[in-house]
Amino acid sequence: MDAGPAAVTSPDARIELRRVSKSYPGVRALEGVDLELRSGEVHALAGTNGAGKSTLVRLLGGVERPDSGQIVVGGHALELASPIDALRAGIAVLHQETHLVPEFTVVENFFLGRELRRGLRLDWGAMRVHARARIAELGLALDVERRALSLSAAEAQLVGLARALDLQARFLVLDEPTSSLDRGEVERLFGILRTLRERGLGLVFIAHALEQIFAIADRITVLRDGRCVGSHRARELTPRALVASMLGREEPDPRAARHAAARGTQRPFLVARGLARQGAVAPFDLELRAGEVVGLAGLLGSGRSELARLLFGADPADSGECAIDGRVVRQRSPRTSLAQGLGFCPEDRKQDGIFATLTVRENIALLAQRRMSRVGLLDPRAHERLAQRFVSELRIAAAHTGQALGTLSGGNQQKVLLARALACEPRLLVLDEPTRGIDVGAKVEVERLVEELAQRGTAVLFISSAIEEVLRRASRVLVLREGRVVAELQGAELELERVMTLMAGESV
Amino acid sequence: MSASSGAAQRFGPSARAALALICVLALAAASTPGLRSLEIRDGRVFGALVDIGFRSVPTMLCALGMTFVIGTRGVDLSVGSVASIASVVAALGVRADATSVASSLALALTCGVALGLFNGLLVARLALQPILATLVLFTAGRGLAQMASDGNVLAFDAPGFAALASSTLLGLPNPLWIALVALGVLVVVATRTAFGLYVQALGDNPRAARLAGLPVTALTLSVYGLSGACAALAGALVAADVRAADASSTGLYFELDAILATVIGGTSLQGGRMHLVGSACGALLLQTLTTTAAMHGAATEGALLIKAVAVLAVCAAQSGKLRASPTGARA
Amino acid sequence: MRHVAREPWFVTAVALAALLGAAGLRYDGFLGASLLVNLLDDGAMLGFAALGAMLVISSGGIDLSPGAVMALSSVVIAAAIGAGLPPLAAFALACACGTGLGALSGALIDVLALPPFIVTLAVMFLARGAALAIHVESLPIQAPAWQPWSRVELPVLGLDLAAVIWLLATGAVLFASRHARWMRHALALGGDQRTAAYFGVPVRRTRVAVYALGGLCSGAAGVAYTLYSSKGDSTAGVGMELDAIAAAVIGGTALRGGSASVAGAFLGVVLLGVLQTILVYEGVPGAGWTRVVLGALLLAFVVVRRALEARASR
Repeated sequence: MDAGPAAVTSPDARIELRRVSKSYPGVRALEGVDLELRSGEVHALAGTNGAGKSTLVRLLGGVERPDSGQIVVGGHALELASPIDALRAGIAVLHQETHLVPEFTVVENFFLGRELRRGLRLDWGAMRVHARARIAELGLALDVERRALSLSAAEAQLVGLARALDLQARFLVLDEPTSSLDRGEVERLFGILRTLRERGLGLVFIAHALEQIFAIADRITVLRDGRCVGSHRARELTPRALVASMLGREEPDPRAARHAAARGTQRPFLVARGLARQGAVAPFDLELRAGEVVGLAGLLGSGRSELARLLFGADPADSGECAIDGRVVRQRSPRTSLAQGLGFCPEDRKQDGIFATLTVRENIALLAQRRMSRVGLLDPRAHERLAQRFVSELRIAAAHTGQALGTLSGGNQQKVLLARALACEPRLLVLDEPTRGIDVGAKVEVERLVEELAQRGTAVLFISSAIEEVLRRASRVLVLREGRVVAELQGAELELERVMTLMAGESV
Repeated sequence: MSASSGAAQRFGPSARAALALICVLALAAASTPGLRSLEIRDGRVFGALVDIGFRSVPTMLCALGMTFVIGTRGVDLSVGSVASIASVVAALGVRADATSVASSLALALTCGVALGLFNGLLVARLALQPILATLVLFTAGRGLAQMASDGNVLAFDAPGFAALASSTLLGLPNPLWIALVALGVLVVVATRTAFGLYVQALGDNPRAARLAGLPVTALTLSVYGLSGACAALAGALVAADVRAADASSTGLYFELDAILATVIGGTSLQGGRMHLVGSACGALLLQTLTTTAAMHGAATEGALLIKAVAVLAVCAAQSGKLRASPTGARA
Repeated sequence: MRHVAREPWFVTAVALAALLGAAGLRYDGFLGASLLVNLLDDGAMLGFAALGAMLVISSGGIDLSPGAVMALSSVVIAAAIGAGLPPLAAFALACACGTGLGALSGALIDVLALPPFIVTLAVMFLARGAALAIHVESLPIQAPAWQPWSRVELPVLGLDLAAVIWLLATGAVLFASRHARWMRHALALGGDQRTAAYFGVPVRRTRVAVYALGGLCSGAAGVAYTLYSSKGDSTAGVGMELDAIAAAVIGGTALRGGSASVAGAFLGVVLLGVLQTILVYEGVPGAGWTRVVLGALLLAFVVVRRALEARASR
């Protein structure tokens, strides 16, 4: 079942993209891109949001066809009209948003589309044995009769990877495979990818985190606005240079940014005592004062999002209590929180945040409209003024406020989400990963905004996977591990090394 | 700033539905001389066009309520059964007292709202899929109506109630005005109230709506209640028109026609943006097809065959998927 | 045992057993071979429709055309036999019609990217219109060639032919849901279409095949109707589409797709049959009661299943 060595090491085992272009209505996603992918190499694609990485992946996977240009595999120009064609050409893709069919078991997923037959029946026995063995090769002992919906993100990812390898692919394309993995899982994945590289597979790797790119990539190609702006050997490139290349401008040195001073009034706005939710967050105490930025640091799955949701009332607490403005509130929900001056920007922007078919104006005014209604009717002009204000304040790149939000880029959607919360003039804003998946330019602006909010007297709870961001802006940082608040740091304790050590669970 | 593309997105589907209606009407009028005649007798306008409008009223009312339900990403299969119950309730009311027009109508509408709220409860509280939740009342509702009427056709002699459907205003039959007023009020509700905005947000992204603090339960209850009210009004008007309530035939296939009219009107079954004017045009379009076929003597079978083709054509145009590639799904 | 309890049709089976047990205690001679034979004979029509509905739903779609296609199928049979075709050929023709209309639905849904609800509604109009165009009223079959087919009973238990075919079809689909590749692909479509496509499932072909099979089931329902009543009727099966969905749902079919409940679709139809029999025993008058009880049953099932799901996910 192993990929034939001849196929892997043959000199022609490379993919070339020649002058490839692809447009969508209103967007030029790729423009004359040349790219060469070689076997035995990890090739990272870097670029800000909307640079064209995902489009490139879809073309390689046969999900879409280029408008012009050629995809040449092993010396032959191929028409990849479907995922099946791509598989035949030896290209397997692990798509970003797709993992497994939830209702199917692991073995059913593993062999979906290529089930083994024995006579009139499907040979489930053989399929089970084979799937179990191939998954075990990746270091995962899994009951292959488990349904996919019961798997963790990392387990599902490995099953997908095992499946792709079993297809005898010569090229493996991984679109943001690390986005839902914690640190240890990423390391494990990288170990597997290195082995595959040794075996002569060509790997294409996409991730937002620069340290991941540098940890695994041999070659880095940078895309900007649908064009290929450079292809480098990884060791010839510094992170600073890569960011500069992605942005097309010099990144301001983050160390120049001022460290947030301890601020905040005496009386806390929100006090949580022993708040907890079974299986998510162990009891914790927290006070949030007006004008202070409190950071939450923790790996994915450490309970930081769960804690944020608990504070906002999105999930009910099993025990403990929460007082807002000195009054204990029971039966909390997003509705009551909203009324009490809390705002929330959830982590999963697309699923939990935006209203894609509504306009930018409607999204911004959605919650604030009740302050502007006249005799129960909405006031479109007031909405427009409000929207205009935020579009210019947050530099939202939209043609006009009547544009559907779904047509904006990820970073601008995030800003609109922020605007929606800000329009209510919240006294406490909970920001869960407001900078995730948005480009570097937008990140800087979001950080600036957090700073401004605090200056204006809003309490901010700031969650980010980028620890430096948290350290730059927060005057106090809670570190979470395995659902527990393991430390509360402030002042001189706010050091990157210290936070990382605590997050990783090593003794200080 | 250019508002044109925003306007196209907001009003395009309604405009397309109106255009489709005009095309169908033009084709029908060209092929059917009888359709073109309009005359005024005794201060009342007669003609096939008026007839189309008049007959489309029940579907239109149901479609208006349905648009709100579909706007929340739901669907209401029970409107036909609710119409049937409402017609029986209204008939029982006026049979008991021929002069109790307002109270009978109010009773029928209350029934409609209550049944709608029952649907809403199943959807909002038990988190049942709307199609399943409303299938319950679809199945049981007509049975309830049959039980309430003992399986008989309830004829009544109540001129006051019958006048709801038979009298005219400015030469046009009453139900047309009722539908027009309902359309006007609901358009304002949809576009100029927080409720309308919330409904569309809820349909666009239910999870985000809950997290944003929208009153999701109340919204869900309201749209199903509204749909029930619209269906009940439709049922009462049907009863007033024929001066009788027939539990087993009133409102038959209302649910499918209403859903069809809504989709023809450009509201997506995926929820979000609502197009009430489009839904009204959709109801008129369906009735135009039926009436035209009948005038050609091709009674039911012709109407059904033409309806099938026209429905597919209009829906395909509305979905716009013919223009973009089917796999071109981009976020 | 735990595995059985997790099967989607488990609740249906329990309810069926309870209902049979209660009725057996209440009425003398309720339980017996004749009850089973009657249930299967009377259930074949709805049974085929529910089988088709289950297939289409578990592939993530919905089909509103079964009632109309069944009517068309019965009229086609009656008209074909009237025109001198041998009955077997007429059956084949009717089934081909059903399959063709199903394939048409599937192709339109895929090519035009329209919601299945709307496309199958249009096909329902199409089928009903075509049936009416062939013959407006009920069309009895009087050809001498029909004589041996009229309510033909098989030596086994004295079951009708239609009931036997229904049983065989259920068994075949049950086997296919585990052992036919395209059926696995159809279920994958229902589970997560995008993933299925990425994994190399031929989406269009699979979807057309599922709706075609659904159409075949509706066509077979028409055959069952004709065998049962010896006539074609263009107004038969009005409202049957939603009854078929209700039966499938009572049998444990999840509307979100991804898993098949073949045995459930069968048990759901039998359960409805038992319920109707009990109502007859109770001497309940009128069709109204039946509808109300059916609605209540549907409500009970979806609520119970919801509660079980909620408990399982915890």
